[in-house]
Amino acid sequence: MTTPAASRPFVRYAALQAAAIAAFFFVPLEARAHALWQVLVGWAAAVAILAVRPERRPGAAAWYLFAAGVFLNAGGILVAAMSKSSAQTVGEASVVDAFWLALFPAFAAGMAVLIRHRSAERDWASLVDAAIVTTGFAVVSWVFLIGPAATDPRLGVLGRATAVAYPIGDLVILGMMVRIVVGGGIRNGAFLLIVAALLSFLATDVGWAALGHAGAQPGPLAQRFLESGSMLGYALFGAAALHPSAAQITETRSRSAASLRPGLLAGLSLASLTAPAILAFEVARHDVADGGAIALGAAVLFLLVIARMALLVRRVEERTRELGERNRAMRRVLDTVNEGLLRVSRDATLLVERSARIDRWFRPFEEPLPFVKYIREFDRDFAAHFQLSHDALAEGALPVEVCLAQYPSRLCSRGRDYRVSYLPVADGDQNDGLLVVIEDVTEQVRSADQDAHQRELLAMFQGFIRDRAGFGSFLEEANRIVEDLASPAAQDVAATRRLLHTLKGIASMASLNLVAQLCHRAEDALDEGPGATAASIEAIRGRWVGLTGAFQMLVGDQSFDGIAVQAKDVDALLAEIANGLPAAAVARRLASWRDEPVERPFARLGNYARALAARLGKGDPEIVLEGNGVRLDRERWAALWSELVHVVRNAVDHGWESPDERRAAGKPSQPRLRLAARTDAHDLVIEVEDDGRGVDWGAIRRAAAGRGVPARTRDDLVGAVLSAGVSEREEAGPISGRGVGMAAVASRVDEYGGRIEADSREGRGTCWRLSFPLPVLGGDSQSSMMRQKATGGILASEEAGADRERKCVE
Amino acid sequence: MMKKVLIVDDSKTVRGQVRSLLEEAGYEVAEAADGREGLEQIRRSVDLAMVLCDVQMPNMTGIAMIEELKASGLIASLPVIMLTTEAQLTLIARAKEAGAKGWIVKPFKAEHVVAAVNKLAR
Repeated sequence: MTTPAASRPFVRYAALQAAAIAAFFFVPLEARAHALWQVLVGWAAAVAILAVRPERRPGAAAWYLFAAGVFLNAGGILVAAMSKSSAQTVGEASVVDAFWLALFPAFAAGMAVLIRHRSAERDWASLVDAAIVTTGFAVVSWVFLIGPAATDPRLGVLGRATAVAYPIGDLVILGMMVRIVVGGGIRNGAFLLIVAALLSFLATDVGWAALGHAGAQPGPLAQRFLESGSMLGYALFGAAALHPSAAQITETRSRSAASLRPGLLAGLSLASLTAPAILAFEVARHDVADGGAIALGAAVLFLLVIARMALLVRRVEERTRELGERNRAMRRVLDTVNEGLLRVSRDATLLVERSARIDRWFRPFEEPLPFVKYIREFDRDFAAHFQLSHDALAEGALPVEVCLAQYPSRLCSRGRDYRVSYLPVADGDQNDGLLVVIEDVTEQVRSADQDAHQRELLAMFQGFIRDRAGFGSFLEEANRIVEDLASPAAQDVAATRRLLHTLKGIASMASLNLVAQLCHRAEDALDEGPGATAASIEAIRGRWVGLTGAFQMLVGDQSFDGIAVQAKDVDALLAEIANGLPAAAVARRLASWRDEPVERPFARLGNYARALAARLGKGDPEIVLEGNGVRLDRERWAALWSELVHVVRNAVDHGWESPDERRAAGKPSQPRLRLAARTDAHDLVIEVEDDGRGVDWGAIRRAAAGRGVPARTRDDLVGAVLSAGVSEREEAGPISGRGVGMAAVASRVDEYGGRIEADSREGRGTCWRLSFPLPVLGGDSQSSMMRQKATGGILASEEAGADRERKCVE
Repeated sequence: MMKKVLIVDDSKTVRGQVRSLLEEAGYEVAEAADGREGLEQIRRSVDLAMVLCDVQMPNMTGIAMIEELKASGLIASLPVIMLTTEAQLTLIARAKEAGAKGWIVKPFKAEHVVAAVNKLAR
């Protein structure tokens, strides 16, 4: 073990002094060395105190005073030895007494310096405590020491004064010691050494006094013990100065000045009982000699105890006032804060401490009550959810932070929305329930709703401006679906699912994302039962009615039933009429204008693909539209375009890879979608072709097998894709993957008497080919499918450009 | 030996997420795509430390699966946590009644799943 450098001098000094004191017992009493030994120990201590250069320390004066006291007291022994006077017994005063008594004022002054440094403020309580203890001892001292010495007939006036000075000096030192011990300040090694030194001196003095009182001469061993007590006192002062902690001895430590520790309380009780105890002692001996002194001591002690009590009461009153003020300040905080704050204990009791908002938003309460019962009056679902979560927290199966994340975060009460969060309250290491923080988010929710509503309205208006007729047919179809959904006849889950899916498709194509979201949620709700389904369908209906109502107000009663004809077509017809085109031909041509050029629904699908691709991070696609002059009856074919949304969506969501994947596969990063219509000898052919990753036939085979659909040949697999519930996706995303869309396409194509083929190669893309036999289009429709001269086989999908050339004929 | 956790969810994405975050936390992960598959795996393997289970799944829901576990007494020795899309109260209450240890709402935080598994895995 090594000794730190700072404590090395202390250790050496302590060892040296301990050896010196031990050796003292072997020095012959009569030898001159006997006195000299004591003097050297004392002076060594004084030198040690000065050797640490106390001027560098705060409260340096205390150390000089201690050194002086030790030096003079030890010097007294030398003087006594030289003058051969017997100073150990009570006798006449001599110059030796002056040396010895010098210790008292020096130590008292040194202690006063220390006490002043160690107290941050006036400490009346410690002062009174010290006074009580000192008075208690003073009564004893009066009876046994001071009184007898003051009235000793053997002594002269100076002798009596000297004899009285010793016990009085001891009382002063005792008082200072009690004061410094009970007062604030650091209690380090140096401090304890000083206290030990003082105790050592006091004990030695009491020993001499007891011998003197008994009138006995000490034996050689007792004398050595008493002398070594003084030497120990010297040595301890030196040790205190050398101790590494000595420099910090003047530091204050805050301490409740009024507090009564058990030890202090016992000391004070004992001290204040000395007067009655001595009285009882004297009464028992039938010799009450000190009645006056005892009465005086008792009176002083009483007054001191009352003073101590007054200090305590004043402190308590101060504290109470402070606490009251702090309480009021806290209340002001809770009254002002915008959040609703409340505390729920571990057993789900709502505690009374809360912010004012709670009373305003919910209702006031005076006593703690079950939180679930309280909050159930306002939001039953929240209450039930809270109960479930709080039970889980109490069970402790999951970690606290995981449990807290599962608590209900939304609360609705009286038409207002609240966001709720939870903080665990800790009492030390113990979990002490929750702090529940409630915020009113009604305005945020409302404005978010309004923003969404405005955005949708804007989207509708843009759709209307861009393509009146197309938008009209969208409105018509969406209206029909919403009606069908809401009608009580629509109980068939499969039919409802198909309607929802179609509505979701056309709504998202028209950028009505909220409606599309509601449809998606309703599809989820189908799994949860009729109640949830009805509620979610009602939500769609409400949204739709609100939206279309607002839209009608915006655009008024404008007809969607217009016909768009390009100016050059009109010019061409006029020129032909001028050249004598027969009336029947003119009529046929005009009739054909009622039909829609197929580029228009294609353009809508293309725009949808572009918007979806942007949303899914698939880049800006190249959209290729090939109309080949095909015009189709708008009303008759509207339903097909609605279903083609599914095909386009599949291409964008499933087919196209991300730009990174495409580059990695050596493809152009820009994905491509081709929408084409043409007629050949027998059929109208519509193709939707993407250049994505192709159909994952393996996944289709697995999905088909899971549902018991045949999956052996390629035709089986195409059939499987077109049957409800089979998807290559294992999960439904918000865009596609439920295995519903392609089934809807198939059933629609079937209605038109058409057929579907799929041509898909892995990594190359998929082409869906829909063929409709021309005769099926009907006698009069034959005319609506007319081949125009190639007006540009491939049109870019720049719809705005096409629009500019169109005009609306009412 | 590494502890083995079974994730039962019809979403491949969720299974993948749970797998990667649990593997990172030092667990072995087994997957099942629905309740029926989950039940089979639980019956077959004796070394499962715990099960994370979705609520809504085709073929057999998570609720049906855990009720089956309760009926066969397996639940006593196998901690199960439900993963729910939203806090579906009635379903959670049923799952708890059948012996599920708790639930975590999707979308979940990775550290919550790991903390729950750390605490519960046998």
